[in-house]
Formats: sequence, structure tokens, C-alpha cells
Amino acid sequence: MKHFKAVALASTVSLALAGTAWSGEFDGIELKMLAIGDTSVTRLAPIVGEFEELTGAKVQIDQFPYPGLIDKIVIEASANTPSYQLMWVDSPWVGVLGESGALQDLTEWVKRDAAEIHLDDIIPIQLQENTWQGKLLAFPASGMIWHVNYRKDLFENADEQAAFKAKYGYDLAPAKTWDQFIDIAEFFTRKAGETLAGKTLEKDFYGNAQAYSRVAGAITHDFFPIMRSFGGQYWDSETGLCAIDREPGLKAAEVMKKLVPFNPPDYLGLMWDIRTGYMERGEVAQSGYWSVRTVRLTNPNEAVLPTIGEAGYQPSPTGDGGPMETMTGALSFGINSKASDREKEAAWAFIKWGTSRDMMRRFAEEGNGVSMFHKSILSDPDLQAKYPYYKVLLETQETAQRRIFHPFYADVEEIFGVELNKYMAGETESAQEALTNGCTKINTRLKVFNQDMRLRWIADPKAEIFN
Amino acid sequence: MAYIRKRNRNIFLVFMMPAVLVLFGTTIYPMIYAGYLSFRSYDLAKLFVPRVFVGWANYQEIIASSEFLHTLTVTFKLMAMTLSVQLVLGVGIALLVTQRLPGMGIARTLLLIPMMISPVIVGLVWLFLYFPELGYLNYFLSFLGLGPYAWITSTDWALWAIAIADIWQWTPFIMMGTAAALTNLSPEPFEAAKLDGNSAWDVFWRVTLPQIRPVLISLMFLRAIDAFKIYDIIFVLTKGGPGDTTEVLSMYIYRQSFTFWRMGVGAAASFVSLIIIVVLITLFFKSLNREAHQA
Amino acid sequence: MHQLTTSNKILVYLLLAIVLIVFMTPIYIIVSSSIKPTPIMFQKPPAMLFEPTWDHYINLFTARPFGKFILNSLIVALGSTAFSLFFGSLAAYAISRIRHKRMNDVAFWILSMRMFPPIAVVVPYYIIFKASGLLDTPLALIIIYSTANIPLTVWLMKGFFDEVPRALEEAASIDGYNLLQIFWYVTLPLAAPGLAVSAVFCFIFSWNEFIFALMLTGSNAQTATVAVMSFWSSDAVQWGRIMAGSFIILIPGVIFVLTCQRWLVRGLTMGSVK
Repeated sequence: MKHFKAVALASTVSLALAGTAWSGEFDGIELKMLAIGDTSVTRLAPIVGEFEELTGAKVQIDQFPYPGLIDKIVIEASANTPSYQLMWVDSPWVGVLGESGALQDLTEWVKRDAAEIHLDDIIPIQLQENTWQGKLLAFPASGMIWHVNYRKDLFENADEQAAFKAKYGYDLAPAKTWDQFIDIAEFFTRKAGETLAGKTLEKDFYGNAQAYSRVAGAITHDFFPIMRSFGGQYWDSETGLCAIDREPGLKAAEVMKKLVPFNPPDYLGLMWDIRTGYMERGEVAQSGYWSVRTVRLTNPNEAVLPTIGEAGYQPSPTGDGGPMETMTGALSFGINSKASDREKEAAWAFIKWGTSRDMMRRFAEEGNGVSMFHKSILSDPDLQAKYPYYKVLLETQETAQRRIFHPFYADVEEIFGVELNKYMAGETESAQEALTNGCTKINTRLKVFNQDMRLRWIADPKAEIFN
Repeated sequence: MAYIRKRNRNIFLVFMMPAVLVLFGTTIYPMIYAGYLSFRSYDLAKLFVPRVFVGWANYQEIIASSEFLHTLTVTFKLMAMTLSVQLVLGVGIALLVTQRLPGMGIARTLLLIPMMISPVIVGLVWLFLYFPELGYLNYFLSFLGLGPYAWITSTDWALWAIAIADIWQWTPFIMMGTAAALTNLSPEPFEAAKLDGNSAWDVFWRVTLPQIRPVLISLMFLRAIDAFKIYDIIFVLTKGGPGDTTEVLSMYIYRQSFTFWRMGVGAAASFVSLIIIVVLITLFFKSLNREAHQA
Repeated sequence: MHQLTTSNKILVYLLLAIVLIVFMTPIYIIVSSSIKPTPIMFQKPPAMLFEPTWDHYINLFTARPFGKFILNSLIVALGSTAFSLFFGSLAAYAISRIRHKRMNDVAFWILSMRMFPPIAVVVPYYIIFKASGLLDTPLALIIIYSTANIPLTVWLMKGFFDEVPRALEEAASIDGYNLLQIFWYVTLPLAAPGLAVSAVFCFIFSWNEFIFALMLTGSNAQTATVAVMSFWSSDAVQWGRIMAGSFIILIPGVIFVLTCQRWLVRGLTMGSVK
């Protein structure tokens, strides 16, 4: 009898619990998200249960590696019965997804819920970044800037400063121009046994780590921001054809080539994560990368810098040292256009919840924030003290230009990934040859389409949410 | 054979039908479909790319592209590298393990393990060994006074890095086949050759090798087919890089079909490679037949 | 063959020892790394004695549903094996018993299926399975793997059936057995070793396959070989988990090597060496 009672009690309790779960707005809805294992998702994935408690909708996030993820998303987008209602979107993908009609237009919802999502507080370029032909197709979950991280402790070391001045004739300071950047990289490249900041090195130390790998076009993720810092553009505004092989592109390719001797010996295999790994382990003096990974430099669990949390952060150097708008990027959440209406509503609720200002602040306060995109968070003095790179993020994002968003982005990334990698490996003679090869290949594919179409693809009308 | 009467013949056909139908359905239909695709522009991702008949344009593009030629060259280069080393090493090891000495059975069994492992796992464990800075291979080699090499990220070594992994996996295959052939040889010619005072090397070269030659040829033939298809190990180790030094035929088809989503071009490339392998196989059998006639 | 001198014996053993060390090191690395704590994963000289950790195995099953992926692999491998053995041995029996000059062509056609570069057909398969809704289901993989496994089974089983004495079948026929009964009660039991070795190869091929599994499955029907690759993530390479997963995946192959080595020769060389 006692036993029976226990069973009865247990079933009552479980019924009661089930009862609470039934009270939400989206009871019975199950959302699946096709996503990446990046900070924009890894922070959120463990707490999706909270969203279920709030709304009744169950969320499952499947995380895949970045290489190949776009393929999966494209496949998913072309399926008639979607198995994923939510998709993680890297902003360059909005072109192909938008032109294919794969993503739900969020414009109306964003306008409707503008106050709730603090639309005014979001840096406008981060929203523009997710538009296609003026329609907002994804919502930022992490805003990005390509900037430079450097070893503040080494830059501030008196011995190193003196030695640098003696060798190069000017003061050691975060590079304003790429020439300075190359000097600094050369200066800090040391062999094991040599001294660095007064200590004898146990292993080789490198002046720089950049992504040179061709895998998933990783090299282009560093090359294009450097091209932008020389004022470069992807497309010719008259014809809509490839303009990457012009002077800024050539200069950028040559900068990367000149940096090769100061990179680790496996430079041809450096992907985003391997390149940041060198920085996080304290094995390079400076490295330019996308701010999504910068947060790791402030987290003792993820980085082992001797001066944890005190790495230096600076905007990207430029060609002439003068100001130049940099490129932004966004890692965002979108909704599969083929999901049912109710699923779409639930998915939008999830996006609002997962990208809300409160959630972002919570991540930041827990010590493992994402790359932020709310003005109030980036300008918060307490948070700025904790994450010094917020200042760089805020300043550069406000003037930043959009990243590439062309429907043929995957082709650009892959083709230039291979061509640039071949040039860096010494298989191609000159930067001109590498970039011209790349442009020729892209143009062959684009010329199939008429000029109006090509020009429409590179046009960037202002997001309708701002009207 | 009285029980196999005319009536039963039909029953045999019934026995055979399911397998033939399944194979027909799963190979002929996809092939026809691939053939159809190869004459079309078909972009699976970019739905705004018109899906139209383009005639021989896909084939022309492939044949004219230096990229495709390059991948063919790399494929055959890799094939030559792996097959030659596997042949020499495989036969060498087979000669060792067929000595009538204690412990040879165990050695043979252990050596079979690599080829039962999934090529992806083979790729991963070699990746672990090649891993820049951290991997053990350069550490081991340093004792021999060699290296360090950048292996998979070096244009000089990447193809060898792939070849080494493949050699590790498939040398046991040649070893196993050769060992089986060696143990089946009749002893008489050896006795005769030894009585004639030939050295061990001469015996091997003049007596053993001619006898196991047919077996070696068919083993190499099977390896060549697999080498032509190689994909998994490259996918794990280099994905075709650095530059395009390890870009083999399968990688090219994969890139066209799934990175650029140009399914038509991918299908056309598949057919071109299919033609190449069919031609090679036919030539191989022709030359075998000719030799058989001459013999 | 011939007797070796003592010094030659020593030479043989010495060479063999080198060969074994070279060929076994990667296997040892998989096993040891799968139980090595992460901090000493790349320690040099390699740590030989260490406190083994099971964390990698635990993480493997908790971080992602690796159990489900193994189950998928098992379903696909067993399904394709059963399917291929059934159809393959029937066809092999017919090919072995019918005396017709066209039979060699059929046999060769069946064998030639193995020569096809998989990447060449993955596109049409992809489109077909997408259209039929089989994409990302185990059934899709079972069908494809059978395309490779049926020819192998036919080829192997034909060899075994050829060796079954016709006189036995003749006798059974006189006793009034029909053809199906002869096949089932007389011939098949005698060719049982062939069935076993075919099963091993069908299983191993399906278990190890990568390209089709990668291209034709998503999170639903993903197999263990594909899943283990995903620990090569954009955040970090989780070597411990990769090695733990690799070890689990190589278990069936090793078991088969240790138990039926005798038959492997025949299977792997498709009968070209008997």
C-alpha cells in the first residue's frame, strides 16, 4: 500500500509538472535550429530550457562545424518539408538565401516589436548587415568587427621598446599602417633560446598569426578586411563584376605575403580557430581577427596569456594610417520561410529571447559574452573595464561598411580561398595573377546573368525597418 | 547435372532477378540521371540560376579547364606514389612473414588491422601524427635527424603525407595477398634453382616473382581502382590544399557539385572520369589477354 | 621452403620488429590517446605511464548523442548486410550453376559496380533521395551500401558455390528436393563459411563508409564515422573525443581480423587469391 502511495504521489507530481509545461503560449511546438558551435550559439544552447519554461516551446540546437554548414543550410532551404525552423546565418549568406527565398522576412515583426527588442539601441549597421534588397532576413545574435589583438605586455616592455626604436627608428606602438604592422611582426619573431621581454624562450615565438588556409576560404576572411583597409570594394559599381583584382586587393595580398615569414611554419593550414589559438596560447605578438573570438582573450578558461584580460585591442591598421571604414559582419538567427505560421511565431519569440539586450548583458556579466551589438552594452563603463575591446567594437562599428552579401558569395570565398592560398604557398607568381585568376572565374559565372540582375545583386537599399 | 533442366533454368533466372533489378535500379537510373544532368545547368542552391539545357558546354568547360587536368595529374601522381611503395613494401613484408619461423602467424594477423579501419579514422590518426608543432611524427623523425616538416601544410610534403597514410593502410593488403600466393607455391622449382647454385636474390627474381606475378597484377589492379577513387583521407587531411597540391579528381567533383552547387558540371566531370577508368580497365584486360596468349 | 641460418633468422625478426613497430604505432596512438588526459595528449616524450581517464568516452556520449550515431551505424550496417546476403547469394547460386557464356558478362557487370567512383554518383543519389524523402534516413544508406555489397557477395559466394560438389545436389534432386530446397538445405549450409565472410565484408564496408554517409545524412541518420569527424569543430579540435570515437569504430574490424583472418584474404582480394 505504501508502495502504491509513492507511485500515486509520483504520478501526481509528474502530472503537475507536465501541467506547468502546458501553460505556455507555444505549447507543443518543437523548434530545431541548424547552427554552429560558435560563441553566438554555445552560450545560448545550454539554457534553452528556460525558453521552454517561459513559452512551452521546446528548442533543440544542432551544432555543426563552420565548413560545410552553409551547404547544410542550403540543402535544408531547398527541402519542401523543413526539419529545421531556425537557422544560424553568417551575414554573407543572406544573398544566396534571400535570392532563393529561403528565409522569412522579419521586417513586420521587427517593426511591431521595436520597443520590446530595443531596436534603437542596436547599432544600425548590424541590422543592415542582415538585409537583402531592403528586407531584414535574420536578426543579429553577435556583431563582428575585424580588428587587431596584440600583446600589451610586450609592447609596453621597456627593453623591447628600446630595441625596436633602435632598429626601426620609431616608437613601438600598436600599428597604424600595414608597414608598421609588418615591422612589428618581424621584430617579435624569435627563435627558441632567444630572449623576449627579458625571458629566455623555450619555443619559437611568432610576430603574427593570420588565417592562410584555403579550407572553407578561411584566408579570405582575413584578406577581405585587409583589402577594405586599403579602401577596396568587391564589385565594380558600373558592371556588377569582380573588382577584387584592383589595387587595394593587390596591396592586401602583398601585405599577407610579406607577413608569411613571421607566421608559424604551418601558416598554410591556419584556419580561424588555429590562428586565434596561437594568440590565446600567448605564442604570437599580434593577430588580426573577427571579434567573435576576442572575448576568449579575457577568459582565463579559454586563454593562457601571461596577462590575461590585458591583451591590447586596436582597430585594423590602414594603408596610409588615416581613417578608413572597416568591415562589419553579423552572426545571426533566421527563420526558415517554409516553417508553419505557428512555428514562425514561436521561432521569432525564440530569436527575441535569445538575442535580447537582457540576455546579452547576462552573457557579458557571466564572463563569457558574445561580440556585442547593443550601444548601451558596448558603452557601459563597467563592462568596458571588463572587456576593453568593447571600445574598439563600438567606435569601429558605428562607421563600418557592410561585408559581402552577394548570392555568389560561396563561389567568391572558395575561389579566392584557393587562389590566395596558392599565391601564399608560392605556386602562383604574383598577386596580380592570383587575383585576376579569381576574378576571371567569378566573372564567367556572373556574365551568364544580365547587367541589371548583377547590379541588383550588389545594390544595398536601406533596410525597410528603418522606414 | 540432370537436375538442372530447362525448366529450372528459369528458376535460376528468378533467383538472379532481385539482385539484378536492385543493382539496375540503384546504378543505371542514377547514371542516366547523371547523364541528363551533365547536359544541363543545374544549381541546387541558387534557385535563381536557370535550369536549362546547355549542350556540351559542361564537358567543354571541363576538358578546357587547366584545373581539371591538374586534378587528373595529381590523381595519377598519387596513384604512382602509393602503388609503387605498396608493391615493394608489401612483397618485402610478405617474404618476411612467410618464413617458417615461430610467431609469423601473429605478425600476419596484427598487420591486417590497418586495412580494416575506416579511411576516415586512418585520416584522423595521421592528422594527429602530422599535426603542426604538436604532432608526434616530427618528434619521432627528429631522432633520425630528419625534419621538422610542415607535412599537410607544406606544398612539398602534403601529397606524401596523404600517400604515407594510404601506404600505411594498404601495404598490408599487398602483403596479405602476396603471402597467400607465396604459401601456395609448389616447392620443386625452388629446390631446382637452389641446386643450380643461384643466390637467394636470383631465386626470388627468376623463380618466385614470375610465379606470383599474376596475383600481384590483380592486387595492383584492385588497388589502382581504389586509388583512382581516393577521397576520404584527403578530405580529412588537406581538403585539397595547400594551394591545389592535393586536389584529386574526387575533390574536384565534390567542389563543383557541393561547394559551387554546379551539379551539371559535377555530373559531367563524373562521366569524364568514368570514361577514363573504363578505358584504363579495358586496356588492362586487353594487355592481360595478349600476355596470356603469348605465354 | 628453405632453412635459414641463425644470423638470417635474427635479421628476419629484426626487420619484422621494425615493420610491426611502424605499423602498430598509429593503432597504439588511437588506444592510448583515447584514455590520455588532455593536458598530456601531446607531451614529448609521449607519456607511457599515466593515470587513464575515461572522460573522453564519457564526453563522447554526453556532448553529442554518439550512442544514437552508433545505433545508426549498426542499423545501416546490419540492414545492408542482411539485404545483400539474401539477394547476393541467390544471384551467386544462379550464376554458379547456369552454364551460359553470357553469365561471365553478367558477373563482370556486377563486379564493375565496385569500380565506380562514389563521388560520381552521389549527386544523382542526393537528388533522388531528396525527391523521395529518403534523405537523412538509414534506408537511403542501406540501399546505397547494398549496391556495393551485393556485387561483393555475388563474387565471393560464387566461388564458394563453385566448390560445393554437384553430386550432393544431384543426390538431393533424386530424393525429390526442388531447387529452392536444394539451395536451402544442401548448398547453402555447405557454403556457410562464404556466407560468414561475405557478412563480415558487407558489415565492415557499411560500417566504415564515409562519403555517402556524410552527404546523405543530417543529424537524424548520421553514422558514427561522420559524427567522429564533427569533433573537429571550429572551436577546438577535441582529440580525446576523436580518439575515443575512433577506437569504438575500429573495434568490429579488429574483432573480425582476430576471429576470421583465414577468410579475409579471399574477401579482400575478391577471390583473385585463393
